[in-house]
This record gives sequence, C-alpha cells and structure tokens, in this order.
Amino acid sequence: MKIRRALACLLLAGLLPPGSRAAGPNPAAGASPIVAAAADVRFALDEIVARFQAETRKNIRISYGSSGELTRQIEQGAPFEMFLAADESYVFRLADAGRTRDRGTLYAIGRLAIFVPRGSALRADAELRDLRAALAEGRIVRFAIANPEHAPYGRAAEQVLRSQGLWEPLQPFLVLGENASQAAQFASAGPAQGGLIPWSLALAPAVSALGESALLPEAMHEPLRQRMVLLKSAGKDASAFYAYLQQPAARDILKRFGFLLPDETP
Amino acid sequence: MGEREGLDVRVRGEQPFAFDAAFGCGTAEMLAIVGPSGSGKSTLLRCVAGLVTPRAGRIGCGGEVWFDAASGVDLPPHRRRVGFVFQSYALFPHRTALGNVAMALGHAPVAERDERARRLLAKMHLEGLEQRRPAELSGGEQQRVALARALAREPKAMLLDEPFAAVDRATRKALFRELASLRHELSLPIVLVTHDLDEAERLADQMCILDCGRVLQTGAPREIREHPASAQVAGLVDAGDD
Amino acid sequence: MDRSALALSFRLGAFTVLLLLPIGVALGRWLAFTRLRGKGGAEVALSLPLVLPPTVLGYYLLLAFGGGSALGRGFEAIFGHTLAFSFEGLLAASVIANLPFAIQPMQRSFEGIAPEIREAAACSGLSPWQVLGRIDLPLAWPGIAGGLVLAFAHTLGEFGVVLMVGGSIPGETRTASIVIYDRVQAFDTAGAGAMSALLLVLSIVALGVVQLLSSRVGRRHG
Repeated sequence: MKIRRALACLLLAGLLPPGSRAAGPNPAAGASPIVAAAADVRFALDEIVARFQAETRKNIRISYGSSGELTRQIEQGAPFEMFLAADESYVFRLADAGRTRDRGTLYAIGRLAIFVPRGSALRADAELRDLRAALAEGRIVRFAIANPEHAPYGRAAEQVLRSQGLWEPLQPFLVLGENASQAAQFASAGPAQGGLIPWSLALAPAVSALGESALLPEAMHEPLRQRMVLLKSAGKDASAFYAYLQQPAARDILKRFGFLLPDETP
Repeated sequence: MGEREGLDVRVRGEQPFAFDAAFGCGTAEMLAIVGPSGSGKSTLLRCVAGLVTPRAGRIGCGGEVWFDAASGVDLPPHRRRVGFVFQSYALFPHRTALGNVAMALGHAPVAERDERARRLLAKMHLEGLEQRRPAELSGGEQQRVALARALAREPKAMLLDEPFAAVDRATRKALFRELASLRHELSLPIVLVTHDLDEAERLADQMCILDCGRVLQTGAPREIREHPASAQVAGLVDAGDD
Repeated sequence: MDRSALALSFRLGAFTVLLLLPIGVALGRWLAFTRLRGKGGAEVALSLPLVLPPTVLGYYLLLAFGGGSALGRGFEAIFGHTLAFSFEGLLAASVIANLPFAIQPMQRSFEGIAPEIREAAACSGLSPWQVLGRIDLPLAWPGIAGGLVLAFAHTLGEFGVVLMVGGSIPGETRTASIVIYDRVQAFDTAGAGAMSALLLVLSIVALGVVQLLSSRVGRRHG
C-alpha cells in the first residue's frame, strides 16, 4: 500500500512543468543562446560579449571549460549553440559527427607563456632557462599545466616541455588543471612556483597583477589553431554573435589579449 | 461446544511465540487469562484484537466471524469492534483527554462526538480534565482515559492487558471497583490478562491458566484452586499467591 | 553575487524537497514499520548516495539518462530537450543523491512512535490511512521537517554530481556552488568569497533548524 502511494507521488511529480527556466535552450523561443568556450579565451570573450550586448541588446551566456570536456558535453546533447575550441581537431570531430552547421572558422592562433607568481623561486624567461636551472637545483615543488588529455593548452605545454627535455624531470612536480584557466589559477597560487598557461590569460589584468610572465616561442609547440563553429541548434542570435567575432572590433580585443589573428599570420 | 453469543477463540500460531489456545467468554462475563510473564497472554489478546494474525483457528464475537483461517477471513483491527486497554495505556500524546476519546468515535455522527466523549470522561470521574494532555495526567487518570476511549468504540468485547500491573494500591482499589461496576453495566465479554492471581480470582467469573502459550485449565477461580488439573497448575496457582 | 545562480540553487533545493516529501515519507515509514526480511538490503541501497563519491554517482546517472541512454532519448522525444544538462536532469540527480538525507531522519522519527500507540489507533477504529494522517504524520513531523531541511541544505552545496550531470550552463544548471568554482578560475576571489560566505551562513542556519527539530522529536516521545 505504501508502494502504491509512492508510485502515485512519483507520477504526480513527473507532471510538474519542467522547472521554470531562465531561458530555454530552444532558440526558436527567443531565449539567449549558450556558447561553449575554451577556458583560455575567458577574459577576451567576456569583453567581446559585453560589447556585443551593449551594441545589439542581445544576451549571450557563456560556459567555460576545457575543449575536450565541452566537446564531450556537446556529444551528450548539451544545449550549446556555438563552440569556441582551443584546438580545431575538436571542431572537426563534432563536424564529422554531424553536430555542426559546417566545419567552422579559425578565429585565433593561441600562444603559450610561462607564468610565475610574485615571490616565486622561479623566474619567467622565454627560453625556460631558469626552469631548467631550478629543476637541477631542486627549487621546484609544484609546476602547473592544463591537463593534456583534454585541454589543448595542456597538450601544448607537454610539447614544449618535451622539446626542451624537461617533461620527464618535471613529472613528480606537475599539477594538472582541469582546464587552462584552472591551470592559471594553480600557477598563480602558492605552493606552485609557476606554470605554463595561455598567453591570453597571462595578459589579463587579474592574472598579470599576480606575477610575471614570458611569451614562449611558437616553435616550441604545435600551433594552437583555435576554431569556432555554430552547432546544429544555433539560432539567430548565435549566428549574429558568430559573425560579430569576425569583425574588427572583436578581432582587436583578441589581438589585445595576445592572440594571433588567422589572416595576419605569416 | 455450542456457539456462544460472546467471544469464542481458538487459535494456533508461531509468531511472536508459539501458542495454541482455546477459550471463550460469554456476554456480561469476565474472563481472566492468568499466567506467568512470557506465557503468551498478551499475544492471545492481540489475536482477538486483530493485531496478531494466528496461523490457524477461528475467532468469533457477538455473532460475527472476525478470523477464520479456513475460509480466509481476517478482519483488520479497525473493522473489529474491540475496546483494548493497553498495559502502557498508549494514549495519543498529541491529543487532549477529550481528543483521545473522540478519536474512537469515528463511527458516530460528527456533531455528537464531543458530547459523547465528555459523557464518557465524566463516567470515568474525569470531569475537568478534558483539556489535559496525557503527559499532564496521573497514571490512574491516564488509565481511565484509556478505558473511556475503549468504551467509546462501543465495542463487542473489552480487552484489558495487565490493568493492575503499574498501579499503586489506592488506584488498584478504584480500578477494581470500576471494573466490577462495568461488568454489571455492559453486557459484553470482558477479557482480562494478568499475572495477579489475587485480583483475577476476585473479579473474574472464569479463569484460564496459561503457560508457554497453552491453556492448562479453564474454569471458575474457586474450581481451579480447589481442583487444579495438574501439578503444574497447582504450582502456578500457588506461585501466584506470593 | 550571482543572483541567477543563487535563484537556481534555491529552485533546485525547493523542487528536490517537494519531491522528497512524499518519497521520503513513504520510504521512511515503510522502513520503520515493515518487518520484511529484505529491509536491511533496502536500507543499504538507499544509504548508498551518502558514501558514494559524487563523481561515481554522477557517472552512473549520466549512464542512466545521458544522451545515449534509452531514458535520455525518451525524455528528449517527449520534452524536446535533453535530460542531462537540464534542470530536470539536475533535479533527478539531486533527488537520488539526497534520498538518505531525507529518509533517515524521517525513518528515525517514525520508529520513535511507540508501536502500541499505532495499535491503539487501529483498535480505536482508525483505518491505515487515518493512522497515517492522524497519528504517524503529526507525531513524526519534526523528523520529516528535519529531513527536508537537511536535504535542502545539502542540495545547495551539491557540486560533483551537478557538474557531471548538468555541466555549467548559466541559468540552467550553473548553481551557486558551481559559480564559486568558476569565480575562482576567473581570478575573482571577491566574488567567490562573497558567495561562499553566503552559503556558509545558510548551511549553519539549516543545521540549527535541524538541531531544534530533532530536540523536539526527543521531547515528543519522552
């Protein structure tokens, strides 16, 4: 008898209108679109969105994460309308699976930097000489990078360290961030002596105030070809934003955060 | 044995202890089930009330069949008209004395319930205490509320579980008088369960000696005392004297 | 202070509690009064979310109603959007994760009712439904309320399960606890601090209420 009552209640609960939504994922209903964006574009994209909203009065919601994580969510059916990845392979993967409108557009080339917080035993230099010395002298306790498994900047960091012969020696000291901005967060907080983080984050005022950084040469890693794409469910506003990102105003902001723009690369 | 108008019980079962007993109680008759603690007296009472389901047997009361294993009849307690007075009184702690009695008047028209409850409490000499919660009543008063509640049900049988167990001397005397007068007033079978042989002998018309879930002897109290059916009965009767 | 995230957390808590009220009462009462042999097994199963790492719970929930599952596809067919990464998915996960927080106090409360009182009710003519409404619920309500408050407070703090099942979708599944995580990654320590302080205060208040209610349970049956 108690079971009967429990079942009745469950049924009733199922009839509840789907929890009131701030804005549904259905673009046709005019709800503000949700954009998935790799963590490295955080500060730049926040600024671009603010400008877009001021100019067009359209709202954009952003969900930041690692490119791999966001791709997984999209494959699981997450209601994103647009995806800015930090590596184009993720976009192609989604395109091949038929989840996107087309094969997307290159919107930026990313750069990697070494960051050391204030008072760190490490010094930031573009050839990683001090990092090498610090390792030899035992000055390193923790060093942060993004997780290479699903964050393109983590993969780039691994490539850099391998090319310099520092990957193996650094293993016991590595701390992995879930995404590029968590890596930056780890790198800027003790007990880490520093880390390899996106140049775009190192340039952001909130981060640069916390320490020193140095831009690493492109040759140290595979290019971070950052690609964006509209997903199948994209609506009018998402399309408008997609177009906006390719306009001068947005590109200027990207440049200011250290990104190389696709048609300006040699 | 012919069908009695009162209570007729024949039951057998294993839960919570093994029991196999048969007894009867006529209307306007008081039966005392006597035995040492652990003999299964309460279990038998609970069978009659429908709180325990025996494995086999038959329980009939006032012409109704309350339980019959053979034909699959098993009325739940709320469909049997029993007045059960628990050893711990089991009053509803969140209701007043009046509320407790009124709870048992579900079968009466709503408009009459309050009045009837009041009258029953008055009958039990509890006027003025209607609005008290059980926690604010003495042990004796609580017992009388429990009695009033049981009577409110207009039961076909009254069942009392160890009514003399937790009461002091003065209350015992009052209770004794109460039960004696009830016996005369109501023409109901009244079954009393007790290990107090003395009171049982004084109150009851019939006695039933129980041990380990089995009835050892049934009869008038004097009968049993003068002619115990076995050494075991004699021993129990003597032990009950202490 | 991210108000929409706070509102979302509150809505999640409220709906979770709304669903847990009938479910918790039904299961808590059944566990308190049943003498079924399988009862111990049921208790263990229902207590699992207490000790299970949230990520394990999240993993299995995603398996159960993620994009590829039958449940997920069925839901999408009916309602037009996925179960995972939606408020409904969070709600389902939250109800499951909070079952023991609701059921256990309720079960204790029902167990605290002396069996003879319920027997007396039955003998007084109350049907099982009437016993539920006039005896069980009034006597057990402190435990019921306590369980709901505990579940509400716990929902406010849910993180692992929410992140795995819901992602971090603003206005949809980005609850207060996720915003704090996000604020830290955005180097907004002030924002993270403000929200953390608020949640801390709310948790303390909730525990205080639960404490008050459980002392009432003691007094009722004393």
